Amino acid sequence: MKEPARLFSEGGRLAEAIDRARQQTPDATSMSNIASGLSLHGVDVAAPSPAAPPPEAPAPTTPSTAKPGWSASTKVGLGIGGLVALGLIGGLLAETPLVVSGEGAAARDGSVRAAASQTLEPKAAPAPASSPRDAVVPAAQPLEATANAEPSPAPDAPSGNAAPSTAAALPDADAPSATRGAREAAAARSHERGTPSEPNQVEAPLANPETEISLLKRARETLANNPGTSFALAEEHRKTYARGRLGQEREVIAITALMRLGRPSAAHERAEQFKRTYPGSAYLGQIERVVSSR
Amino acid sequence: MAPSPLSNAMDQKLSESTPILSVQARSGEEAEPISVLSFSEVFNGHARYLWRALLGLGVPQGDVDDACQEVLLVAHRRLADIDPKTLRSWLYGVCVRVASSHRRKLRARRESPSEDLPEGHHHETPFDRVAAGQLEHELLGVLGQLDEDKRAAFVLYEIEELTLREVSEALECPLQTAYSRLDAARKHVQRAFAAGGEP
Repeated sequence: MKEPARLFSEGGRLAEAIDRARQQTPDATSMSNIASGLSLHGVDVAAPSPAAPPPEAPAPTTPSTAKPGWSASTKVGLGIGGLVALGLIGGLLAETPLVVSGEGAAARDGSVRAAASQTLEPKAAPAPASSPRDAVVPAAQPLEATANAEPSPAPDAPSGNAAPSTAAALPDADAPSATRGAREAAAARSHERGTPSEPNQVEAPLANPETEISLLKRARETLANNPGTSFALAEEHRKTYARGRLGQEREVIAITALMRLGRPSAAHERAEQFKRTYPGSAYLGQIERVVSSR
Repeated sequence: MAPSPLSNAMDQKLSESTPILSVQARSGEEAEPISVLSFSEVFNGHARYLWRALLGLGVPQGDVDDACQEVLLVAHRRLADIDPKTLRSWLYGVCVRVASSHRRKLRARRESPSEDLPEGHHHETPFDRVAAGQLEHELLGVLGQLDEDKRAAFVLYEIEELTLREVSEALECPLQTAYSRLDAARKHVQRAFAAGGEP
């Protein structure tokens, strides 16, 4: 059966309405609330899956599981911690929706994860990694790619592509009103995770997230009054954490700082580089506004 | 977020109706590696879109976080049974049911004025007020005029960009039925927007 052309492609008010509906994605608060609520049910979004096959039928080992303690699922899971950690930056990119990215990670989240894991079944093999398809959530691409691997009568653009590009345009007030309990729980968890004294229980070949986060936090804090310092800190982050988990966030700060320093050409150039590097980033809308605001 | 018995009921319904992929290859057959999903992958890759779908399916803004959590709890419990190839339609199918349940509960609350609404279950949020008059709000209003099945077909196909086959899987109906529902929904929405949102 032939799939009808989507109404979005026909333009007009309805297409615009559909586009805006696609932009209605949850912000960091909502995602944190959901993750928090799940953890109250013993489900840690960063924990290994309880869906492990029975012992007599071990899951096939994929290449990504060949690295003990650093499987693809761990990388993906750590992304959630990174998001929570992002909250520590104090509204780093306040208008920006949550970016669930495998790049973002907070290794110290491991203590929470480890505790939750005690109630979970043995670790499951993660889905095999495949080529990225959904650029919105790079870390989750294996799933999207797998889900779409089945022959499809309509090779449409991935569902997520339309959402994040302008998601940042949503007003701050679009945060859904979660229950107070969930909000408080989320806030408490975020606070706990932000406690520097919390032990880092995850062995991961990553930079110290505290340092990475605090560096960007300083960059962000100085952005308003001292964009020069802010830019320098962003550059320091770029050099120190070339493979860090908050690269997108750093770039947003750097581009904003360049604009405020009166260097629009450099800002535009960096913005273009950002678009090429992160074509599905949720920050694209925000960056577009930054570089066009003079 | 209060735990809901809905998730368990959903599990039962899904176990009756959803094709299950065995994780273990049957003995004697060529072992086809079947990946096992991790919940973090589901969360990372789908949660935000499930949240959006729930909003489109009519879950009040203030309830969407809870509804999304319910969907994810079901996914967590059924993770071992989910065929990765049909994960997306499976997840959206859960969304449709959770949204339907939320709307039923909402109707029940409205019919029981003596019952205080739980905290956090607002019917109008600051966002709602800001959004009033905006196009997406208008679309939600028009979608609210559709029956559940047609609304779900429209949201999954036009907003979430599922294929028609995925829509039929999510709604557990034949492809032709999914097409008919979508077609009816599209005509209604198009008429409404041609008339400025007043069908």
